[in-house]
Amino acid sequence: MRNSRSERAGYLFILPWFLGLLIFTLGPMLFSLVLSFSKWDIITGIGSIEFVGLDNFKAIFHDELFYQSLKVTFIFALVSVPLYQIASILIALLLNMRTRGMKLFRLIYFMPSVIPAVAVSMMWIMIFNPEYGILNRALGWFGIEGPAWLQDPSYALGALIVMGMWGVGNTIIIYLSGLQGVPEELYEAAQLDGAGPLRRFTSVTVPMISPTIFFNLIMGIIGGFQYFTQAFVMTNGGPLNSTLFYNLYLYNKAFVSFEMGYASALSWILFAIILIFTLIVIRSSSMWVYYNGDDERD
Amino acid sequence: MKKWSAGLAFILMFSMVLSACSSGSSGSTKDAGASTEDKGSGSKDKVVELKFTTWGELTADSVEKKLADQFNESHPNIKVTFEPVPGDGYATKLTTSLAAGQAPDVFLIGEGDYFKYVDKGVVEPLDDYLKADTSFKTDIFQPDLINMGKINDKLYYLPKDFNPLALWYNKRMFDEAKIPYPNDQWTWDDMITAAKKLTKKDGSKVKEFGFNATKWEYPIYIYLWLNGTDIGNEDGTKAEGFMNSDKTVAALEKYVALTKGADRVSPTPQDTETLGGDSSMFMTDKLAMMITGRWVKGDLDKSDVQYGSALIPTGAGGERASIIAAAGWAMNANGKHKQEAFELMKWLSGTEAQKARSEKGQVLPATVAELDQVKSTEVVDKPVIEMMNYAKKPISMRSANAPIFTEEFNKAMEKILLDKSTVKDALDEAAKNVDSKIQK
Repeated sequence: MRNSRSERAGYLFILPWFLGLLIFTLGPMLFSLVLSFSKWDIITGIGSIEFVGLDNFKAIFHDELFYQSLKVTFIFALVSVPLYQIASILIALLLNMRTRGMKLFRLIYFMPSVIPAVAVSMMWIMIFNPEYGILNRALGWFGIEGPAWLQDPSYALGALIVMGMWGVGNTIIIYLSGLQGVPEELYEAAQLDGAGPLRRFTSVTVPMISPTIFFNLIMGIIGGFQYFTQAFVMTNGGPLNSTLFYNLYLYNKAFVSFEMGYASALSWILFAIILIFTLIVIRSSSMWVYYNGDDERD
Repeated sequence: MKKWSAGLAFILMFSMVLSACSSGSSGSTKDAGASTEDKGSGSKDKVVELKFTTWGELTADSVEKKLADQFNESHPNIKVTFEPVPGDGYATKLTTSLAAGQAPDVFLIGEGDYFKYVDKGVVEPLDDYLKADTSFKTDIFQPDLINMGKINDKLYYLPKDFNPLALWYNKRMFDEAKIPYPNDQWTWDDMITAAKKLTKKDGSKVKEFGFNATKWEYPIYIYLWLNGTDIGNEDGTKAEGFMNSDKTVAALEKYVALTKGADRVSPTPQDTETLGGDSSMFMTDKLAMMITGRWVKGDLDKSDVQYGSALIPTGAGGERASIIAAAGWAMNANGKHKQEAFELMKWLSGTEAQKARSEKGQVLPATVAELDQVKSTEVVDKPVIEMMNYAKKPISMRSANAPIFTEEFNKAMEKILLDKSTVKDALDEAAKNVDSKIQK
């Protein structure tokens, strides 16, 4: 019974948070797990939950829109995750230079991340407007007739990916702090050994910030698969389901057609997909992530 | 020690979940007991609390709020609270509250969802209450509106307000093109001829459109009816031979052609979206005619557009059709004080309430006497009211399968409008999908 008093105090301190987790996260998660094996049309009340075994999952694997939404989400994740990471690193490298007015540039690049996603979406709807939008106006100066970005099924997804570039400020900041943690003497040593700027980047910078890359990659993958707000506000899945992201389809099932069981099953499938991808990245991390001071790197 | 406390936490969690459930159910049994008591003692000493809800009407001086206050004054044994919900969140809020058993006693439903909510069993039929109450007769209402509220020969909804679809035209654009305003003899083809004259181009780009061939289903249904066809059979159990019948295909080919090619008179749905919607195009003299509900009047009156309304043109053989968009009061089938809720519904749909709502000209009164009065004085509303006589029920008011029909139909329309498929192919596929989904 050592430390029992302080132990109890410790539990008391975490209790508020723990209760919140139980009631608002774990409880609903358990409930949705149960629901994923049930049929429940929410309108008819909690008494009408009907256990159907694996029916939801069977139906999902025959659902055309499920595959469409998976396709959209995978394309988005595969293109946007590497794209945003590379862009963020490059911008962070620029912002890491010692020049006058650098703070202003940092501010400019970070600012978009502070604006709520819905407001950003409304703004980009205007930018993308084929008639009055600034984007097509600008293209017009070069004699290019821009497409109807959000209304054309072959452009809408691309437009959303491009738009996302605007909001990578958070990722940039994390990379920037990673870059600033790289000891100066390593660069100096590399320079003495005759390494050029590119070699210094690949042999010093990348290994030294690999934990940051690792973190951002995982967050990026999770964010990519959970993409929702912008598509909900800007295209609502259209045109022709070309921007029907997985989460948007899930939302429609849950809160438009009120098929809670089906939607819960969808959400657990998404959970599994994200889990698999995150595990792949974590498992592979020992091969490319270098922790300073960790001598047992293999 | 560690294991022990983890176990404790788990027990705690489950007891909380359980207590949450049991407190809910014990609460409701207590209430149920109270209400039976009420009936026994003639509800003298206990005030019954009711809630009702609508979309919109959020301002403090809303008519519904005032009606609630007046009701409370005249009914000392009932205390009603008005809980409006913003339009976007209404369906979600209502359904989740129904699911949780916390739904208001009386709620408002739009005509497109009339069938759905009855089908889910959450709306109480009113026939028994009406039979028992001789002071209230439904013949004060427009017969169409009562007819709409009837599903499987039972009355579920009492009218709040309604908006028949009509043709709205921009006078300034007609004057400029020097063509006469729409009249009662117009056929659909006359309208398209006029629309061609009203359409103005700058190079290959259309600057002003004559008519909006919208992707919204209601005007499309009307056009299909004028051509003697529909997207489904009467009771909404079959799409094959309706949604893809030769008549439907021919009619839709014509309809879609209005938005396509060099001779187009209508904006595409994308155009409408980029230009800010049909009513704002109408208000800025970019659109000369549109078929829509009377709700548009509120916005039009705020702008300086000069407009008129007319009957929706007839089909080639003189047939006429319209749809009434309406909102009706429904009683929560799981409510605890149904008799009192019925009292409230009578008040909210009754003559006084109809008068209060129509006073500012925002809505048309649903009662016969008051509507006749509006008809005799209002010029713009006359054709709108007359369109009521030709109202038909769209598939959403005939069948619980309607969402399947509309989803597939809209999908087909989208493909057609984006040139991803021919009319025939898209509708064939849609009809096949609908029928296979219904069979499940």
